[in-house]
Amino acid sequence: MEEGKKPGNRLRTAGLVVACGLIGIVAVALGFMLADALIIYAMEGSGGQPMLYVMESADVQPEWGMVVPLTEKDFADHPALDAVIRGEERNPSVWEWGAGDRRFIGGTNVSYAESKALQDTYGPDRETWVYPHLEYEGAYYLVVTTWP
Amino acid sequence: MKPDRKRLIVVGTLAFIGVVVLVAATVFGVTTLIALVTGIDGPPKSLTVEVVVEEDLQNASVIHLTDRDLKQHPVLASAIREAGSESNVVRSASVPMTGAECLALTESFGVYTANAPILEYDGVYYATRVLIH
Repeated sequence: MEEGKKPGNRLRTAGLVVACGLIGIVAVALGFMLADALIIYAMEGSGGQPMLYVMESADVQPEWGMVVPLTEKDFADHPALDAVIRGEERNPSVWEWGAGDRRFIGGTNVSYAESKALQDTYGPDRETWVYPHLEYEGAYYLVVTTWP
Repeated sequence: MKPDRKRLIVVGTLAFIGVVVLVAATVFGVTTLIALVTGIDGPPKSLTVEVVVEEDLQNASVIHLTDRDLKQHPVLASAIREAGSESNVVRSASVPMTGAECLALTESFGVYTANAPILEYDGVYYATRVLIH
């Protein structure tokens, strides 16, 4: 009897440890999601005006990072991006100020949640901080968001 | 055996909620602290605008701002609004901005360049300056 009980007990302990580990991972993931939601909720009430800006780059070198073609799905998912690149918020400035090979083509007020979503999708790589170049109809764009 | 299992489930659920709240609180706290100490994108900057009279413009380049420009650059809009409402001899205002806003204003209106152009809105001329704290 004693001999037969031991392996079962060990299995049960192992199962418990694995279950605890899995629950821990789920808890941490939920914790991060809750924190994100809390931060956005707190920021939306702060009265700040987050903005989406789109910068046009005159030319793109392959070593600058990846080039992502913009599709209709991108514009459908992010109406603010659509409004700035090809809609009523397009208001290109001159090329001569700043670096000269880039200019802002427009900007629009977005919510904090949208600012974060745009940053997550089109923002710089978290490790290299290189911005992806978005290609649309032969022009290259970079998405810059503010989080005041 | 049964009450033991029930207790285990209750303790497990409480521990689960505890971990979720603890992680959320930690992430929220650390993010807020980092934002407070360093600013979210780089050191805090401020945009200073000062009203200049037309006679002092000399040969400076002038950018004529439209309502749409101000709508797209809320920082510039609030600085101009504040400077316009000043009643001092030197009418100027300074407003905080983020690094991204500074970049947008520099690329659009050259505010952070050696020979920053003069901005004109509604017949009033403004000189700009960027301060880094």
